[in-house]
Amino acid sequence: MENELENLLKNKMSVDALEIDAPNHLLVIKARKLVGQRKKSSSNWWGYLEQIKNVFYRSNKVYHFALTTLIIAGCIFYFSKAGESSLKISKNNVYTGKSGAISSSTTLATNDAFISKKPSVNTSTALTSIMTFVTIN
Amino acid sequence: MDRLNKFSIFKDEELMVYIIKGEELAFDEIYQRYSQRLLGYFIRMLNFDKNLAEDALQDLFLKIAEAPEKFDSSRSFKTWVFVVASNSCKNYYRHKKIVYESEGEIKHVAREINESSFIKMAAKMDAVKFKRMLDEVLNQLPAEKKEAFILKYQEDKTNAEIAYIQGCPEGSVKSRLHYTLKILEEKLKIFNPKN
Repeated sequence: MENELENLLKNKMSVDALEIDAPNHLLVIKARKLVGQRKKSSSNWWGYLEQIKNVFYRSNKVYHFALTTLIIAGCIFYFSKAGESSLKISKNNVYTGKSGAISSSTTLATNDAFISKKPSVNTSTALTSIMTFVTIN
Repeated sequence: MDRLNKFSIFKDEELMVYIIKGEELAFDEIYQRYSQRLLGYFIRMLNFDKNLAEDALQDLFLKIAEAPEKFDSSRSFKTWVFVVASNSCKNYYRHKKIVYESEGEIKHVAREINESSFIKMAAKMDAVKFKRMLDEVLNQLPAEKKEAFILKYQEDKTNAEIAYIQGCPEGSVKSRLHYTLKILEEKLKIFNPKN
């Protein structure tokens, strides 16, 4: 019985019972244009900014944003520390390079002087002694 | 309007995503699906003033086009669009000062409706007369009762959906519907030859 009553009222209350024509599409020309403009605006630069904004405000929750900020801050801190220590190492290298260059060139020069003066005499002496040894045998 | 719209295969909720992206054809499809039912809703809600109903329909689709992001895609579009329509009606009542005070309200509506006699009376009655009576009753109803009745019998919504649209408990929807049926029953008695 309840269904009968429901059916009766649904039948009398249907949109068809109103006998109205489908509404004219001209009613929504302005609205349709607005939708179209949305496409144009989303293709330009401002549209991309809007999309980024939407990502932050709609798709992501606040804790996502906070977590990302923490990670980025951590990365910046870590890399800035790493940058500082590498700078120190390179500075040290410069000093080491300088002192090394001085010391090695000095050593070389002394060695050269030593080599040019003393060992040449020694070598020739050695060679003559070898020759003497060969001729005796 | 081209009925062979490529968006005709999509669900309402998917169409809203395309509207956000600026697809005019998706908008056309939504309009095609809902314009007539919404016009029917507005005509009944706005005391059968067709021009006013068309204005309301225009405003509603303008609202959808202006801010489609307001639609929560986790919800049903079918219900959401009637929430927007319901709010539009409230504005119309406020600004256009449409009278929606009930005239000669029935004070005691606790008694159950005699459904069998209701149907018998309605069956005896001329279809045109019945329709006219129904329209008269709707015009006399307070807005929220009228809306509940339209959503129930025109739009085939459940009590829970009506409660969501109207922003009230389900119990209120039941009592609103019962109230309207009581008035209809009382009106039908006038046409009952036994009376």
